[in-house]
Amino acid sequence: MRHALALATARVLAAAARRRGGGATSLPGLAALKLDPGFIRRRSRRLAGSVVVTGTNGKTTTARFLGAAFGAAGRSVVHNQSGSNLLRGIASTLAAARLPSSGRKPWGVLEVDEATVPGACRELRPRVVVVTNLFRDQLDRYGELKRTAEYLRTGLASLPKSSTVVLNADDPLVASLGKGLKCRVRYYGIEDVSRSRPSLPHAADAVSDPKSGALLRYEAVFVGHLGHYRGTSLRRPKPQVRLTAFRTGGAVEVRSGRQTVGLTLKLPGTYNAYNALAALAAAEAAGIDVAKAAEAVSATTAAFGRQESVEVGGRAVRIGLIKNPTGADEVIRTLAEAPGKKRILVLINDNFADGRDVSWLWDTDFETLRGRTERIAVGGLRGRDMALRLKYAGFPTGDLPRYGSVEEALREELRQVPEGGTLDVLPTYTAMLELRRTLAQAGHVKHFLD
Amino acid sequence: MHLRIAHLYPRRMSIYGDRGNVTTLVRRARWRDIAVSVDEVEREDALEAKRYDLFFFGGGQDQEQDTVARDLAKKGPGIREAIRGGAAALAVCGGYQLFGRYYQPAEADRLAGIGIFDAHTEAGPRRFIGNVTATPEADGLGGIPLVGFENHSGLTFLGGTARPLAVVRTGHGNNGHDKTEGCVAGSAVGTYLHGSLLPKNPHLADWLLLRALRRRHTDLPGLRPLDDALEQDVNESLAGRAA
Repeated sequence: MRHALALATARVLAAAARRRGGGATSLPGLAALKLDPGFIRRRSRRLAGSVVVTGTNGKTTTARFLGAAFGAAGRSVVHNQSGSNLLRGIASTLAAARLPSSGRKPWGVLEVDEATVPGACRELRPRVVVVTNLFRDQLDRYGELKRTAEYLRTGLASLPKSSTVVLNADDPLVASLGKGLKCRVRYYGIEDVSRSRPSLPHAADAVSDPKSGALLRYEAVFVGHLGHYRGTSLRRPKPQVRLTAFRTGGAVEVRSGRQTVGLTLKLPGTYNAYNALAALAAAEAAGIDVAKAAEAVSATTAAFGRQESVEVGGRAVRIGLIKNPTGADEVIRTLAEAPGKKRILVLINDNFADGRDVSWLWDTDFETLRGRTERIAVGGLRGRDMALRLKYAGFPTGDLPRYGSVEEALREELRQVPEGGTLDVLPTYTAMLELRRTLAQAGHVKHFLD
Repeated sequence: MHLRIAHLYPRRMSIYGDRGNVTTLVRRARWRDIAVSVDEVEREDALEAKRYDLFFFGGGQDQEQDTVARDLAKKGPGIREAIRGGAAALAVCGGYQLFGRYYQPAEADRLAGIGIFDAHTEAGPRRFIGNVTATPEADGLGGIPLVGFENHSGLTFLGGTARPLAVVRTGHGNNGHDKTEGCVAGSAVGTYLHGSLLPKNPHLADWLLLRALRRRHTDLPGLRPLDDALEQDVNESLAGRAA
């Protein structure tokens, strides 16, 4: 009874929000949880099972890959792709989904904020939890990286034997979460070292052995502190799902057990290879054939703001979300490695959802873009800080264009792009939402993804 | 002229963009045609402290801070000697705490500091997180606001002989009680301000540079002014936003 009332209330609120022109919000879920604190637990019984996707970077893309894999296996999914990744957002998503009491049940693919993992594990009892990586992000909210790891440890420790935890073997902090769990643990990682970088980037964290304090030794570094490491008390676990070869044109070879599958990733960058591996390992843990999952991942394009390209009046606007130094470094490196000089617009906000602290800009290697830009401009609430960062990265900033509003920045910078050209926009999270709104108002993209 | 900087424990103690302070010192020296070298010093490295004109020591997470505190028992005396001999220093957050007398965590053994500052730190019940604007007290900073971002749960208390770096206008500073922020001893500055701090506070960057250079060039009259319009704009907008 309480549950039915909670569900009805959430749906009425969601419908009202839609009429006002908004999209999925956390309000319906918040109301549902108020009326029925067990709402998620009860509602999730109508799912065949759920996969929780968590970690600092790559949640959205991994979940998107995973959704495609379930689709290829003939299973429908419920995914909180445009909602929040806190409990209230999950509740909103579950309230909005049509979950009939009979027939084939859909799977839940739920992105979950790291601090929400204990609650999500308790309420959802997920069949699979996949952890992508732990980087320095939003530290102003959580305090320290190790505290974030503690949230995950608490959540994972509560999982029953029948669950599977899928961990990134190449992230020492994430891999260490696999110790002492009741449930099954699977690791994924990159074996082919041909794309590794010579040393750890400035943005790397968690580089010392938890027991001895000695710095970890790396034989290969792929992204941030992800790579082949060895400490005095810890060692990289051998991954069961592993990328064995990078080939040209986004093609990669992945092995799981004795099975070898080929993928062609539409999304650039080593970090997207990690997202694909995470999705394959999680799909396999959910009972999907790896070859089928690989095919689906190969056909998947970018989620909004994750290297997605939008056409605007014969010009492309390519959006690469930046929100922390490691993620931003990878977006920048991928951009710098593409041929030709770029036109770049960096939009930095410091709203709550972005993290109020912009000091991460100084841990990010904007220097990589030097000599590779035709033009660079800045905007957002902290556009000034970004201009300053570029000055100290060695860019001439005397006449650097600096904009107040996202709309103005986009309009003016697009004017500088010749027909057929590309404007690369690097926004923080809330700047990306503003950008999306601006593009939607001009009719270039839909308002929300669902 | 040549400036030698030691960056203490950059792999373990460099979060919240503290590296940007070193970038800023290097750039501002090179823009004035002063050669600069930066040596990164880890636990695994030997430190010949008396070679250096300036030490930079950033913030870190608890485990790293613990490792570093142990190593400082060895390297500390040399660093203290160098600073007493006129070297400049900037220590931020965790580095600031270890440049004090000690840091007492909530549930772990006390970490000994190296006593550059007459100050000690105790774990506090909550975390101070947010933008800070403070008015400097130290001579030579012209009263121009210092702006930055604090993120700490340690509470630092200054001893009787210690001088604060600044008085907090917005934010919490050393301990949230006495309105002080940071500490100055000779040419050494300790502070809780990240941000990075120096790019948006070029007056403090130059204060440190001048003192560092005067260690070996005692007759240096001053530094050539730079075009700091952008730096001042950022400083003023943050100070204004806080007001």
